[in-house]
Amino acid sequence: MEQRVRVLLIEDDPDYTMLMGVYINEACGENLRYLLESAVSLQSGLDLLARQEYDIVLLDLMLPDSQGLETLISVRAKAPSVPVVVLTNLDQDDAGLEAIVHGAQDFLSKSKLDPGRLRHAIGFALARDRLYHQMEKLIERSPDGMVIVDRSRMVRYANAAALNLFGRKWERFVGRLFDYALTPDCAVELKLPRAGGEELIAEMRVAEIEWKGYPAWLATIRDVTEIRKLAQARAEVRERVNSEQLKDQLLSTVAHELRSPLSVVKAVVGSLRDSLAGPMNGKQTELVAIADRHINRLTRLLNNFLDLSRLESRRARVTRRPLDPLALINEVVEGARMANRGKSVAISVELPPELPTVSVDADMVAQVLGNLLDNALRYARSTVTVRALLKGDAVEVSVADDGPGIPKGKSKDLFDKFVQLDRPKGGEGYKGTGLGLAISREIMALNEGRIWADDEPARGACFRFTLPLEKKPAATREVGRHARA
Amino acid sequence: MLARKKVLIVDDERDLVAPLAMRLTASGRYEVAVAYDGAEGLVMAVEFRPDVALIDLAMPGLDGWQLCEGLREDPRTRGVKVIVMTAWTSPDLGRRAQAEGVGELLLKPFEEADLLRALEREAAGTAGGAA
Repeated sequence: MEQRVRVLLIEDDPDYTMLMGVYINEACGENLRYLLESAVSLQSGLDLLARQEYDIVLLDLMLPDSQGLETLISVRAKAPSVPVVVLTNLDQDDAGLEAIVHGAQDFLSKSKLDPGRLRHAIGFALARDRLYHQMEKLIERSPDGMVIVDRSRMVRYANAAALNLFGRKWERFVGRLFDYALTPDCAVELKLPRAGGEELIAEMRVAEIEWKGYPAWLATIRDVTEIRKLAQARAEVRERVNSEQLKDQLLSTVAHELRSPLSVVKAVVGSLRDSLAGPMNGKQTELVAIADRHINRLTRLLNNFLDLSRLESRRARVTRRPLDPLALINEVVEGARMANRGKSVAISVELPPELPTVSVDADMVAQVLGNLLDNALRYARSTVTVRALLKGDAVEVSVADDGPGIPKGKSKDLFDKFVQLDRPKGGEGYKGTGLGLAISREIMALNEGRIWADDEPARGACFRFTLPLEKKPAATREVGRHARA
Repeated sequence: MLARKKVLIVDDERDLVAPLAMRLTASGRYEVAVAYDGAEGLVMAVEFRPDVALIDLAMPGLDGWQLCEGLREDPRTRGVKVIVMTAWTSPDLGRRAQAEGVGELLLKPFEEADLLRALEREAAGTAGGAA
């Protein structure tokens, strides 16, 4: 394919223009053709540049209507993307070098011109121009903002990302003073206002460079708003976790510390109650019994509280083993019956003859069932009923009482900490801690079970929890059968 | 008549030691001596030769664990049964107690009945003070 290069010669000397026409023809090669047009003044050259596209401009700096570097500057302003080769007279190398500083791709000495040099200069200028544009594109398209600021703090260049970051148009940014401090070799954070009162956080780094022959600064600006927000969120979360841990630690310390004086009071009151310090009269016995009850209540509260904080912080050790749910239920019910001896409420049990093995922490589940029985016994009128049955892949255990029941819509709140519904209390003033159900919920979560209360039981309250069945790996059982065979 | 077993109570909480000692003495089954820190407990153990030591863990100077160690190191007190009482629970409390040869663990505040049962179990295996 033939390469065509459109050349505009701006030259007021007609002899030289003619000579150039001859050289240019000679410079053409097999696959390379130069198409030459010429203008005799700067103005006519600028007119042509405005009308037509050229690949390169050969420019005489000394024209009737413009002399020296001004000529070059005018052409560059008119057609910034067209490379320029400046034509100099004898011994004007300095002028040529200066023209390069001001954006010319190369210079040619008129007196030393020949077809070979001409072709060489044009080819070199085009290649250099391509490279320059490639680099410019690289900078222009960079996702990081790049701003070039000269030593008078004037913005000389800004890429699209930079204009976008500073929220300004080219003409309102380039050619104006740069408002930010330029400190080389360190990252500075800029807060850039956005529309709608928002702020954009950008990180600016500054390097010293040379720009068009003069020392300048290259400021690279990156939008770090998201990163900063993320870091801030992370720090906040960490702080919150720390203060949460601190709070837990403090409460745990307080609870533990309270146990020592409580043990003293308990021992002292126990001594009085058991008449170790002499016989007690009826009134004294009554008062000491009240103190004793409340010491026990305080003890339960502390123990429950410590249980719950251990469960919540996942410090509790869960030991899940396969076990028979019937044995577990019977054992806990037996214990509750013993403790409930002499009271009017009965515990009835309705269990199937057999249930599959479940996988739970026995002590923990016993605590849950104990809690539910304890609650039910407090509210029941005459009977508490414990049932269990296989439901799907779990054994569902329920504890029902025939008391006043749970008000509609309150069954979920019950499992929150320190929630005690205003239900009539059992006769002897036994008060719960408001933590039992919260503990039970944590325990069930650790054992992959669920716990809930029926929202609208026909009579009384009914609490249910599930115990996941033991997962038997099929392969192991196969091996077992073979071994026995 | 059964010989009374000897119990040494070691706790820096004097207000707890007093009612505990009163109860054990009143039961008629125990002869009681008390000490208010680990170092004193060690001296008392050699002097009093208890069957069972009821030891608090958190004490100034020589703490409960160090006292246990001291009892084990001295051939004269090596055979003393130990019951530990503490207000502080930690995940490794049980393991540590087992490693130190502690027979029973009582979490403060404990039921008097639990204390008496623990004492009985521990004292059962001993020769008894007057025997």
